[in-house]
Amino acid sequence: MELSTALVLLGVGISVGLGGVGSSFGLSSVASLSAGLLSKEPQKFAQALILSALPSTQALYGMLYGFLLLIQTGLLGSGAKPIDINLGLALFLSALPVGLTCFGSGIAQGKIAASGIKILAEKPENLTQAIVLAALAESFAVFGLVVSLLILLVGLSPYLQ
Amino acid sequence: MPVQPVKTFLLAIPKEQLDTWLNTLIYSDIQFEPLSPLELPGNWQHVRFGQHQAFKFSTELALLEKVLAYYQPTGLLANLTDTRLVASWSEVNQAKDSLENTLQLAQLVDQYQQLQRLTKQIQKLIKQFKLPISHLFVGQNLEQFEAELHDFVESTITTFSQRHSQEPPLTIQKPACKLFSVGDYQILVVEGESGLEVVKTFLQTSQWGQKVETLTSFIQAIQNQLGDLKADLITKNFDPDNPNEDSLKQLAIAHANLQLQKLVSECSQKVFQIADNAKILFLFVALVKDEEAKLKSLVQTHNQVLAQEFEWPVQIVNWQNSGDLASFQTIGQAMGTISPKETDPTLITAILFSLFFAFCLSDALYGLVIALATGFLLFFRKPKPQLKNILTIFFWSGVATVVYGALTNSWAGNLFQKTPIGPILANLQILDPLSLNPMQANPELGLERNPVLNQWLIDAGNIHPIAALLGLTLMIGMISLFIGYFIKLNNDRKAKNWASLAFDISWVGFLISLFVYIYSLVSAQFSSQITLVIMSLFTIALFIFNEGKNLIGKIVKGLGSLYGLISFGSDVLSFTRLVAVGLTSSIIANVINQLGFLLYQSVNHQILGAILLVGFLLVGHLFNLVIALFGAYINPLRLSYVEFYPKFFKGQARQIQPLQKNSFYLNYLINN
Repeated sequence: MELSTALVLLGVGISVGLGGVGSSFGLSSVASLSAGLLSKEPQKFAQALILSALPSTQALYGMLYGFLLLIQTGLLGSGAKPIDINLGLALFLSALPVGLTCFGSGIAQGKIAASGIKILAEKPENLTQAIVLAALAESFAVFGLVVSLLILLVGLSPYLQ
Repeated sequence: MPVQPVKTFLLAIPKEQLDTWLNTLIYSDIQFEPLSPLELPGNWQHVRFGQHQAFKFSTELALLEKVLAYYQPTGLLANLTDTRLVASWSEVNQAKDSLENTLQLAQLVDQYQQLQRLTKQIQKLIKQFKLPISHLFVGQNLEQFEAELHDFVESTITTFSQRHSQEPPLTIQKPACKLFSVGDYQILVVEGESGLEVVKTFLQTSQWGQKVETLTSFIQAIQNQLGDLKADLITKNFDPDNPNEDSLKQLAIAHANLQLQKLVSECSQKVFQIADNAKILFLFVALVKDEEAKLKSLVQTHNQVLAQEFEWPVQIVNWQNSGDLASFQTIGQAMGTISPKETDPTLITAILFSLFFAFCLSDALYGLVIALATGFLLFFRKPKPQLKNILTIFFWSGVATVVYGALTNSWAGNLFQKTPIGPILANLQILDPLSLNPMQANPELGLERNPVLNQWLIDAGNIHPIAALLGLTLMIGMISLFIGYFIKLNNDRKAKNWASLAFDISWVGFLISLFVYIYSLVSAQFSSQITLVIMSLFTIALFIFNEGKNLIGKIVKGLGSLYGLISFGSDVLSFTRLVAVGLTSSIIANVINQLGFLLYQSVNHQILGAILLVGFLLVGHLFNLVIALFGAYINPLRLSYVEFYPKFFKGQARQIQPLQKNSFYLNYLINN
């Protein structure tokens, strides 16, 4: 086992871990408020579930990038490719945009969606507004993912043949 | 025309005719909405007025004067006193006429059914506890009862210990109780014989004795009530336990009347009078269709009622698309209601939304599942309107996803690539975002990419397929935004808002010439000098046609509009989410396939392995489908609401909300 492989795995950890942590924090702030609402109005479970699940996409983006790193370096699937230490470091760094943005945007989206629970409580017909407001925060995770994808699939791909 | 303006009328009704007139209006086939006077400008204050909510004008009389002006010539208002500052909700009561008997019947049947439901609930509860029925008590506000019982036991224990200086016997321990709600009542369950004794003693000594009764006597009372009701109903030729067709119809008529009476009272809440002792009452109504003639003829039969067209300050419209477009209209309606002078964006929204959805879900098999599931529900289950809207949107989006997924050769990821149909599906492919290798599709499987696509990518400078797809989404973004700008131009033209039109033309011209200029710098097809001159002209136009009042204002606004270039850029960039979300669903689908086959290989038993494989794939893809569906629903919504609609959408009109007369019972009557 080489150090470069360990660096790639650190990248996987950064993207999956930070995405998951961001989503968990975000989800916990919506879901705990949802539980409060549901104690009074259990019939709003479906809508509350939609709002609560909104911040889970960041974990998904992180997981996607983690899988891509594993697939591209051959750690998952067709035998490991030779990677030198510089490439390993570059692969690790490429996980930072998606990991960091997913971490922040997950927490932020959770806060917005938690406020959206108030819309659900008072004016459930305006649920779409709450969803769209929360979707605003998702952009930054998407941008982070796009940049990471560009680095991995376009920038670094000649070195990964 | 999907958007039509709606006519509003002011009705003046003599007070003594109000009941009959409202009934006539509700029972007629005119579709209308009673308008609340609170929607009018001016300061309206809520005040209490006897039993009713009331309101009055506090400052602005202009509108009231306008209302009165319509009726001054007829002399109908001659009897108005001058205390006109106080207006009140009318004290309209429910109609008391021949309907009374049937209404009474409906109420009796309702009561009967409620009691029956209560009995069933109680019996279910009794079955849950294997305690004898004497351990159950019924009453209301039993939380307080429990608290007082607790205090009673505490005080008994203290007095006992003081008197005998020893621990009290088990019989005066605090009993273990549980509370359950059944309808308006609560049921108290007491566990243990000693606890029962304590509760009984407490009931005898306290004032709760009258309020809490044993379940046995409660059930007996209900049964007696049920018997009385049934006897009463049978004298009215209605057997509640075994109703025949005629009596059901009678009941439906009664219920339909009840509902219509509810509408009458809803209507009467919008009626207002200008003085306490006025003899004329007013009501604003908006007509759904062009049913002016019907209203006029109805007014003529009531010789003292007058209807006068009235200009409502908020524009009320009837925005109604037909068929499946009506479902897509709800997307726009969440933003607001367009006026007849705005272009209806529903069709273009439908196309763009389905396209975005297809990019985000991105898998043909997933799209097929969605389209089949929603199609089944739509055609065989007759869903309610609100659910039907969402299902219709999902159906067409699912169809679009099948097309897009086929073009990217994603059928549950690469599930079928090894199977015989793999090459057939690969022939449909023109985009290859799933390929992780820029030169070759899936090298480990030895599959060649569609040669046309490969040649195209090589011609474009050997770009990576994902980079090509990113470019495609940026193009789609620009096209969507320009569609938005052109709708805005059309709206300006329709509204004859020439100043805004000039500015918007300058802006669109500036953007287009900017892109042509950038292109001309790269390629030699256009002369860059000429495009630079055209671009400068449009830039100057931006400084001339903006809303600034003076020279400095024009310059500031002009610079501000140039800043709009940045928001245009960020709006376009936002469309890259289509690739990111789409890749998420299809790559995770691939990973599920890969893990599934790893599982299959790790099991030595052929049949067991196959079962495990199918199970894993089903669960995995279902999970991925649900997650992907989520992203595929909210991201297109966001693109519509944040990027696309603000380019042109005003939506400051108000949709008419007519009284709903098509209730369950009315439909029952029509169908029978």
